[in-house]
Amino acid sequence: MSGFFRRLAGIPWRSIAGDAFSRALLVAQAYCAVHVVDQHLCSLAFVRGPSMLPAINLAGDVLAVDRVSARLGRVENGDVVLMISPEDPRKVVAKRVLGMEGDSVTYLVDPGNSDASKTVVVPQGHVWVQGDNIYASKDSRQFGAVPYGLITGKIFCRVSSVIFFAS
Amino acid sequence: MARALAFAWPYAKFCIVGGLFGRTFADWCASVASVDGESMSPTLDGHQAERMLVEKRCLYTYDFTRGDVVVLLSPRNHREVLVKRLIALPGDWIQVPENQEIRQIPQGHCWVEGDNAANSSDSRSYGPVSYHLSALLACSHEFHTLVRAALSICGLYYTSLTFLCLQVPLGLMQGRVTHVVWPPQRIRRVDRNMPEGRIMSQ
Repeated sequence: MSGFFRRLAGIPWRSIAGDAFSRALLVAQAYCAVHVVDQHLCSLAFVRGPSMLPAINLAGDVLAVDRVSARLGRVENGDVVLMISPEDPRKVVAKRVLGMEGDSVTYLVDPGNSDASKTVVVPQGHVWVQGDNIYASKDSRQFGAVPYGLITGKIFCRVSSVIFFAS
Repeated sequence: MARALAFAWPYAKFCIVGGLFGRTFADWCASVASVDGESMSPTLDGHQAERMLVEKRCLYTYDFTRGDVVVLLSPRNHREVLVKRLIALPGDWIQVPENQEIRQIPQGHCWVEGDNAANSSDSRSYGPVSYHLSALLACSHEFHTLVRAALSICGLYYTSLTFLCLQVPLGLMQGRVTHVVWPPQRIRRVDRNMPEGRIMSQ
């Protein structure tokens, strides 16, 4: 019994604790670096769904997202952006920007059934987003122009097709 | 050259690592912000350089309570940050006093207002023509936008830089104000309170 306690006292607890602390610090630093790069510089996003066909696959594509341009306000007409959905803040959706503030956008109200179109002027600080596949997309035609602050990143590259063709 | 770099590197590394930790903490846990302007007085006074603690845990699930003081990006200018009180959650019916209309907050949106009801130079006053038009067209979002755009071109639409009350998507929220932390004589909790009789919750 006392031998057990003697062996317990002989273990170098201090240096073990020092090692454990420095490794935990390293892991914490790595996590913080990954978080900062992912949220503020550049990130990868897995996007799926029919609303951006043919640009983005139905089954999903891994896309590279540029966070810096969106924060600096350098999003323009024609860019595909990642944004927080105005109907559910827990969802992030990918759509194409078709109108910046002050632009006048003409769109088809119900493309499957009629030819009627409407024209709106995008208000200050807002953007007009639409999916490329207008027959199967919930976008500004339903929920109106969205504030620019909802845009979290600009998509600039598709990564998954590079991976598939490389092998 | 190499010696100067070797001398400065530990300090540079310390600053970079500290910056990473600080940024991650500010994104996940809490950060400090200051108030400018009078739209939230007397709760938060901009003239005394008050600093508030903004907690970010509410952003994990967008779980807000009616009456919280929130920090959000302005829908009119994404570079501007507003501090307002969240009055109504999605699905609630709210009475907008200046338009005499009753509106239901759509899914994913909320209604925010400044506490300073006496500050009359704000965008609640659209101007004499659009007051009546917007009351009639309260349900139609796109036509509302078109009317406002047309009136702003004619110079009849009055906008101000600090908006007093507006309906915004919840995705614009950046955090919730829980305490005032500076100056020391003003350290206190920021409580939830609600204006009487304007909300009917779902």
